[in-house]
Amino acid sequence: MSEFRWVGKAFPRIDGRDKATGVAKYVTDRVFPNMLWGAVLRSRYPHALIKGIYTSRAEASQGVVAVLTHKDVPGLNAFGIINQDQPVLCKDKVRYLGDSVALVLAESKECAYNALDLIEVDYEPLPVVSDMEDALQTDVKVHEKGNIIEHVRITKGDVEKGFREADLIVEETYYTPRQMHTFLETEGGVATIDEDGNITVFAGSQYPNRDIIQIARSLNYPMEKIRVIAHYIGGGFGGKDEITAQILLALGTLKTGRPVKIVWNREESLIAGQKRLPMKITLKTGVTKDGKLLANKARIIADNGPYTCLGSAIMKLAVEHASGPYYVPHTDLEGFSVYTNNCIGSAFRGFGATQATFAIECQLDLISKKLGIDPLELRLKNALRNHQSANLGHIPSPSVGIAETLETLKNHDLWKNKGYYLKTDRPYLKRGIGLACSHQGCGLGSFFPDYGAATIILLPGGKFTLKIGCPDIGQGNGTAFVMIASEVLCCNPEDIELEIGDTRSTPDSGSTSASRTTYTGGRAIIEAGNKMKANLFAEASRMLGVPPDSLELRPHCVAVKDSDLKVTYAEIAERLSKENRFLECYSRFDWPTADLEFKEALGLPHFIYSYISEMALVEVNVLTGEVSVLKAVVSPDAGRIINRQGLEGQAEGGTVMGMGYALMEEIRQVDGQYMNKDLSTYIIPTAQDAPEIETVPVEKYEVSGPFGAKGIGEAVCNPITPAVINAIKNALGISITKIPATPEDIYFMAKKEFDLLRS
Amino acid sequence: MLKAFELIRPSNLAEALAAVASGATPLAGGTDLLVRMKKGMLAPKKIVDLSGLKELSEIKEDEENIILGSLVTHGDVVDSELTNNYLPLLVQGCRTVGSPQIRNTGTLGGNIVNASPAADSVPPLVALGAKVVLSSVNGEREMKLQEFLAGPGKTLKRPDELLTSIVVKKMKPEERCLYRKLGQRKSLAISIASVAVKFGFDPETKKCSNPGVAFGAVGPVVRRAVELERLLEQKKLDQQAIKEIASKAREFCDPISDIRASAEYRREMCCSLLYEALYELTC
Amino acid sequence: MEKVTVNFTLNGDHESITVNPNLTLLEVIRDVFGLTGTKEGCGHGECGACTVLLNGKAVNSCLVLISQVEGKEVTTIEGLSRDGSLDPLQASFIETGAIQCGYCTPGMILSAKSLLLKNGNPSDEEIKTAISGNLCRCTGYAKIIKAIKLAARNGKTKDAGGES
Repeated sequence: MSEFRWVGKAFPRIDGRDKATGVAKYVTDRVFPNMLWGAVLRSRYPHALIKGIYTSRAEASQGVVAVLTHKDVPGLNAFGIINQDQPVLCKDKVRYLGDSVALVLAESKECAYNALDLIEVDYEPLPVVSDMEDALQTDVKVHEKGNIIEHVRITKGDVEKGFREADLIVEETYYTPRQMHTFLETEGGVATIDEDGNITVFAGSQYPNRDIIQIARSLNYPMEKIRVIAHYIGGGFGGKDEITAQILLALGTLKTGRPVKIVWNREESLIAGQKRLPMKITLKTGVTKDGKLLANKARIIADNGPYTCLGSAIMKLAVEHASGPYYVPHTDLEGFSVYTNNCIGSAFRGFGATQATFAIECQLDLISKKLGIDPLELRLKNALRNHQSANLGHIPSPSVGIAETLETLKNHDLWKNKGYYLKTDRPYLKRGIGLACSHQGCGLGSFFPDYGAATIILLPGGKFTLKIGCPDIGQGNGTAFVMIASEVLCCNPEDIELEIGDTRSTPDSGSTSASRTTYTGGRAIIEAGNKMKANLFAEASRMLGVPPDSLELRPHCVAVKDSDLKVTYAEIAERLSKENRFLECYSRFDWPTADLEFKEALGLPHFIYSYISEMALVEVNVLTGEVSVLKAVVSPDAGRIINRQGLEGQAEGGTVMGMGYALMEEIRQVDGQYMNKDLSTYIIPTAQDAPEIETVPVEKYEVSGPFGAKGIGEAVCNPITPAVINAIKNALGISITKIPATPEDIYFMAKKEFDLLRS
Repeated sequence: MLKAFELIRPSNLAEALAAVASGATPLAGGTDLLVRMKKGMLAPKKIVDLSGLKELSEIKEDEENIILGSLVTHGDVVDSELTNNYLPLLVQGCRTVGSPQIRNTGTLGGNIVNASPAADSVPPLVALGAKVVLSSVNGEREMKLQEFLAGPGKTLKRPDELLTSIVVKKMKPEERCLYRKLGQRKSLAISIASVAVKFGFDPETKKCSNPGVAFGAVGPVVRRAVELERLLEQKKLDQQAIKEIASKAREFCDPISDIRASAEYRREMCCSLLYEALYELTC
Repeated sequence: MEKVTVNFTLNGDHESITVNPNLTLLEVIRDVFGLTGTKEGCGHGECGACTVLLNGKAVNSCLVLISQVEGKEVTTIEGLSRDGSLDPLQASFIETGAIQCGYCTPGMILSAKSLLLKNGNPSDEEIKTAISGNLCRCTGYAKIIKAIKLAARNGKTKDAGGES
């Protein structure tokens, strides 16, 4: 028997019924009487000076109520979580095709979009910075201060000594693409304003409390008169972490006094929305002949596009994760994040660790091949153990489960009976098995305040309200929160009413990002729950006339230990109500941080990591280069599992997302122009492309976590990409250093090895 | 959002033909027309909605042929007993079109008239020597589908004509066939290259009869590869022969480079797909 | 623009609307009837979020012109559980964890419904084909496939019970 009533069970989502019946109102589903539609005029050039913006024809157009430009932004015409370098509405310069130049507000969507063609803008095109290496050299500046957003270099030990002692040094450069989140609900929402000037914004957002700061700053408006509600949201994956439409929504309603709706269409989302940063990663790795990693040197360049967003932090995470979840005594890790006139790079599930994982895990397979050491044994030999120093020289929290996840794969039938799985019945089909490991720092890292908070209120009838800020963008943290609260309060999940993602009613609990919500929210809930428990004991003690320390919680009641004497939560609530009192417990929780901090690389390092290993079985058609991923086995270490169903859902979803990254997903840009603009040319895996996925978790107890839990939302999409690529390499004996590896790429590489038509 | 237009809703074919003669753009399934209108590539002033015309939605047979109304959807082809019995090659092609939703709406007539080189119903129809029937207020005419297709997005349909049916000779029960499509992914994909192959085959002698071969997405129009068909008939189809024949396929295409693939890859894929099809049909 | 009158059945109710002819079925469902369970994900038939049943078959409502539904039956997600009890597919999607953000869910369920209406005992391959026009970015499809299998099983049990 489990020691828990709820924790660790496979529990169906609390919002499943609303979503399955179509009742759930997503932020872009909302409509209000007298509502206007907003449409954004995007830039015509990837890089140009604006010489004039003429809106009179658009203003005179049928149904148009207002056309807003930079002149109408009352406060700071710039936003950005790290650097405020992105204009709300461009004034004198555009820096990518997604830049917002004007906002049309009209009586209907049709009128709003029709009026866009009537706005005249005089541009003076500038040379385009489209290559990240170029960005470091060129005189063309995307921003006045130059094209380097941030440069970091962190060393540990003496990397040159490591190379001198190495028997083998492997050097290779890896390229990763610009990946789109492809959440099904595009960016947007609705904003309203009331007679007292209170603005409410319903928007796809991963951190409504921070949105308020950014909206208030640009509108020059009191924060307390702005409310952001982020519920329900049709997916985020990091792409709704930074501002998308929120400021324009608030500006529109402020200027017109009417509700305003803006929903980016799919093409706008593709062009203007944030993407996973493309990176070029060069690794030089030294290893002994028996496979001990000695030294790793990395040079990483990240194409951040025209604005910082969260990009520089992402580059830093790539640096932090560039040597993988291994013990490497000597490292020298350097990263540049640069401005270009390409699409904006910002947060995307994995946040830099994804790109770094692809590079280091391909590098390990290269070493395995050159040394003739089994790729799993090579990883196991170097797997980081508790109390060893990690990439940046810090000691992570002792819940390092990477070796256990590798052991899990090692004991799986797919690995043990490879020969069976590798057979095919066609001469043109070749199979391969590949594996990879990854880790992911949980939380915001050192230096940045990283906190969670939750409020629990006892309701009449003995149920509870649980309030917590960080929104549920689909991954299921809301359900995990309710399970945790039910566990602490010894009640059923149905007895917890969850309020989430509303700055008016829920306490600021930080962002829904960085694999942090289950951990942070969970801790805050446990602490608030324990306060509630103490209060319930105090009330019960008074009602029953026994000392509090003789009491315990039983389902829905406080009872005297070893006795039938009890008082139900409902009875306590009734008593309180009669006495004009109520119980509300709030608790705030701050993350533990690492024993090291880098003044020159704020945010690094992390203290708690999730770990993961994954292997993939692929079948390649050498006639065409097509790859079928047949099976994936994933072993995540997320600490104690809160919701088994949620964990599997993350592992499965992350696997298919990372598989798409390996094989097909890329926004291709030439000179700042987009080669693909829709979902027929930007493709993601369908049900027919997805493999059979098996999740075999390892639960490495995290002593600081809620019931021992860590985060897992991001790590799940990291290892599958190199696992698939390593499997293809294994099937064909070719080298792949660039993703996505499309059928065409693979065909031409494989042709050298297998030319069936000429043999 | 669709720009404004005038809508005509005929209740029979004669009214529809009159509307077409007056310059209205025919709307069949809409899966292609509406996308082009949304993207601003087309802005018809007048649209004639054909969806009410039951007479164009039927699959019929006579002694020799299957007759498909132009409004028959890809889904209808996949589900119909007649097509499954007599035109399995076309069923295979239609099964690879877009997605179930697109197949349930998109029509054979629309797929043909759009004249996309990547239309998945077309290579099977061309390989089977299908004919199209064109109607107008002035009468009816019939021509070979292969001749009807004049270039990417171009057909010999006159502005006042409507494609009303497709006539295809029944395949013989002993005939083997395969439609092999290469897309960027396994569904919701537009063909990078495809091949439709059918022939009678004697496994003893490895000789084939009455072959039909047509490639998709590798040239301005879908055409029968007559010379390859001749080679198939001449040779004993052993491993060596199918490799030789498949290697020649690159000579029968004239592909372009686009976002989905390079011309060179497409050229190579003609060989690869034909080889795979021949391997599957003869080994 | 001259308006058109279209008569059709929406979730079992006869409806007659007079609207501009350039509206899609999706726009009518969401904006005229306020049924927001049907989602728009791309507007071009490439994601399946707007899937509804037209005479029992799954279609992308963003690519159906409103006049095309004349005389036909339209079923949206709201029409699957009208009497308050869930369709076996809705129940199985909830139970198996086939829902995450949920934005693809209504369309996904209706594609599955279209399959189960003609094939009560589908294979894994048939299930994958049936939902191959519905993109899901959260789940990796595994639990969706599981849910559809479960619903097929439960549907059969229920039918059998009804007959006995």
